[in-house]
Amino acid sequence: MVSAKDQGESREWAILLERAATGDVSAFEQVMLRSERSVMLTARRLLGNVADAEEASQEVFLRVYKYLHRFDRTKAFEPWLYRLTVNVCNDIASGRSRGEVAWSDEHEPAASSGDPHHSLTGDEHRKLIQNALGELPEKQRAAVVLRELQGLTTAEVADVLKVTEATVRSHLSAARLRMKRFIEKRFRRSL
Amino acid sequence: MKCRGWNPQIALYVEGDLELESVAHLEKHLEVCVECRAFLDELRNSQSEVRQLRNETVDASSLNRVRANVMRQVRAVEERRTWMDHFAIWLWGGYRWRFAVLGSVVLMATSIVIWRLASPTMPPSPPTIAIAPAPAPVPSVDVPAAAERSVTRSAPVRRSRPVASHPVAPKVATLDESPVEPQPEESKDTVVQILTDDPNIVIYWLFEKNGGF
Repeated sequence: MVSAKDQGESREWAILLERAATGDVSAFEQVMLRSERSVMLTARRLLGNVADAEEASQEVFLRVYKYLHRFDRTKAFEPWLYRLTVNVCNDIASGRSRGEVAWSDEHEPAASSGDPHHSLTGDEHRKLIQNALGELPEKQRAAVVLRELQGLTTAEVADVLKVTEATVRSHLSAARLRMKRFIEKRFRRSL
Repeated sequence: MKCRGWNPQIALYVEGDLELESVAHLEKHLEVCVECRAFLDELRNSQSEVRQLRNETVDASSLNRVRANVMRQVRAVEERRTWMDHFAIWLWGGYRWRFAVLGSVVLMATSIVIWRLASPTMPPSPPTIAIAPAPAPVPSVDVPAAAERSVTRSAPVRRSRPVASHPVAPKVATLDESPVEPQPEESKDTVVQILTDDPNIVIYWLFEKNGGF
């Protein structure tokens, strides 16, 4: 059940999109402020490093600005935004040669935590999973990132990737088995 | 080894992505298969590792940098835009219904104009009038069969003007599409046969020699 507050927010969001679509720069900035975090995280998870993620985010929002007036505002904005993000990340990834894929986080800050030991563990985990994601084929990685890290449903992932739900399930299943093998191998090595 | 076939389903089941009809089937198998239960536990562990990535943060300076770059380019584009660009954006804008409504109105207007042009109030087609030669003067005794028929048929002629309901001048045509033959002097009486739309109604108009009728 949708509460009155949610309805008010969605109306406000629709008005914001409408204004942004007609060239209102401040409205567009508001749209960007609300969605930049999820775009950046998705791009970083898909591309594996901050520099490429920043480039991808910038390109995504420029495309949003360029094509927002063509976006069908009777539909949800997030799937469209994720689709743009996945497409831009695929473009950037395909622009790199295979050996050049950079899954490095050298200049990224560690996960914030008061305990240094815990922070280190969290950072190690993050790098481990990021590397496991890097081992996946492009489509499986996109399915895992959208479903498990961005929290979309299988149907939403299918909508974003323009494939069937059965295909998404197939990607998810294969990716989970692959990541499990990768993680277990790394853990055994570290023990 | 036999249980490897269950692994893809277990990989979906672990996060609740397995289709409902397959869940019961798998759960039945898990009840009896230790190997698959162990595999499920291992997958749960690896998935919990994956889920830890959900908590990662984004560097605020990174977001600010991207936003500043984007907004700089957006403002530059906005400054270059003319009123034509804004109009095009408005026209093309996400309001598909605008185009739909506009298209419907244009279509309706066009349809009305075409309908009005194509169907003006046409007058009813004029009745065909055939001028039949008057029957030959009836001889005293010997009446030919054809002439008798003609006389018989002309008997119920209404002498009032029958074309009151047809404002357009009636088309005159010869009977049987044949030219009017000059009649002999003695047969100057003329019968005008008026054919109406109703085949059951035929009006005869008899002109007498002296010009009356």
